[in-house]
Amino acid sequence: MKKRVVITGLGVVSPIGVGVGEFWKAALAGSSGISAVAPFDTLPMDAFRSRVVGRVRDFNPAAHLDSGQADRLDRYAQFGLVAAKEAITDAGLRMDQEAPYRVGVIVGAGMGAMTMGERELTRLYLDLKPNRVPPSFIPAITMNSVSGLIALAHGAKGPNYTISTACSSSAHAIGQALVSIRTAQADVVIVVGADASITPLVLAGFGSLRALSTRYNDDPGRASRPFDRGRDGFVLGEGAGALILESLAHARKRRARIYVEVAGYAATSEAYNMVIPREDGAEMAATMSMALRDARTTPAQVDYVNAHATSTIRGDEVEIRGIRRLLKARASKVLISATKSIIGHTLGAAGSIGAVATAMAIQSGLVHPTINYEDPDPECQLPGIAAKPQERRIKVALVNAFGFGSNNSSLVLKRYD
Amino acid sequence: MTANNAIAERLRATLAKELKQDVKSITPEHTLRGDLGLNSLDAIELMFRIEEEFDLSIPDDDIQGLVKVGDVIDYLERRLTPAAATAHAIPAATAPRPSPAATTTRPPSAAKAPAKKAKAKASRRHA
Repeated sequence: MKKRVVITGLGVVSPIGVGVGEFWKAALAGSSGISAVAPFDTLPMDAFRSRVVGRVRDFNPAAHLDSGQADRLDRYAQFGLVAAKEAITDAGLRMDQEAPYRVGVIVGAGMGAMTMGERELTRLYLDLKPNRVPPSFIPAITMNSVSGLIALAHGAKGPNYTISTACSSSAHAIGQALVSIRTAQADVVIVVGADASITPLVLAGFGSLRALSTRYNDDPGRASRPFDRGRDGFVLGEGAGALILESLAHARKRRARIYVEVAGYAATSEAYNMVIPREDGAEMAATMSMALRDARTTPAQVDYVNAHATSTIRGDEVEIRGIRRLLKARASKVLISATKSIIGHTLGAAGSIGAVATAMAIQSGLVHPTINYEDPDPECQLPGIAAKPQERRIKVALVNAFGFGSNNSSLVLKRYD
Repeated sequence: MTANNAIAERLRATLAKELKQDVKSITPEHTLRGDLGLNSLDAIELMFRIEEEFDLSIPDDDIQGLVKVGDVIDYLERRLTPAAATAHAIPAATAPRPSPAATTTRPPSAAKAPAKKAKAKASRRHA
């Protein structure tokens, strides 16, 4: 029998609040975290197709990290460190009482240190002084910087690496943590998803891909509207999610509070198109099905799906098609919510924040609303999608995360009792 | 391609770069996706090239109306009428649809045209 794995700590940095308490309260209230993009220095902001973003406001790195360190870190690393610290504290994980090699760190990040990369490149071309590129630049932009920083900060000496699979990065990080604990490479894994790439190049690039919302630049709170007929693309967000995964035996031994069990995981490739999912939803259905099988659970037992649902026209309808295909009659009974309706698409952080929202839903018996779901698109309409919070005692939940590069992942979280 | 030869020829050249195939046989009746075999991403790449070649910005909502080669020619003709063309006066970002505070101006002909032809399915896209 597979070793059982549970979640014992949560952390989040999001456009609707820093800290799980603030995040969850605002999520249930359906307060949108989307705002107008702040100007990028001298760039003509009107020329950006999409000018709405899910920015983390009121984030003061100095309040969480020592100031000398904060200055040398990219914003996404600051988010990751802060979320990790919250989750570790929340789990009551005392590193002085752990065997260091048994505690790993796995990070999911899609874009990495784009803010710093763009800034330093611009400065280099303007100032023409290669020797003024700071020595902290390379250690900051390597994709595994955050997993390294977390290990250093907490003395975690177990497996340490970063998974980068675009928008599903941190779902894969959670899945890989599950695998690491099952195979006894670690007893505890600190999992973090982080991205902070509301930068000129990234906003422009996704704009050129026609992936972003452009119709609601003057009404930011309405721009992210998964499953709604008026949706027209995703809203670029930023943030971090953190989860402490550990073997059930280890959690019991240290009498930790258990949020949920991580029961199943699947990772696949559609091998189809770099940015477009296969239209019939069969690939997503297959991924969810494999995750349920891994969890020894059937589609008929699913109560809730935290959907990937980014608010793009095609992505949302394909996901619902996949859910219908897999769950059949059960599809009209499950609750479904789109966390991105509230915070936008946090890219590499999305899977981890979706998992945090799902753990909270299982714990509290409340599913957060899918805001701006006003005019249901018949192509992706199901009775379990609602613009209001919904009550349900959830036993089995799916968390979906799909990414550019034709990759899909699904996680199964279960009530632990 | 008869409508406007100059535009049609430039479009043909742009298509040639994008399609990497013989473009002589392409007619205005050919659909970009069905007949020319562009997937959603190819179509977006094509729009990107057209924007560069004709020095204009095509709002997302207008793309939905561009199903056939002829639609693109018509659209470019409307956008490049003297009033509009004088200037590259079309600011880089034209806000699509009835966005109330659209700060930019767009030639009225272009503003009207796309919605009519919009086919919901035509540009369903993206992960």
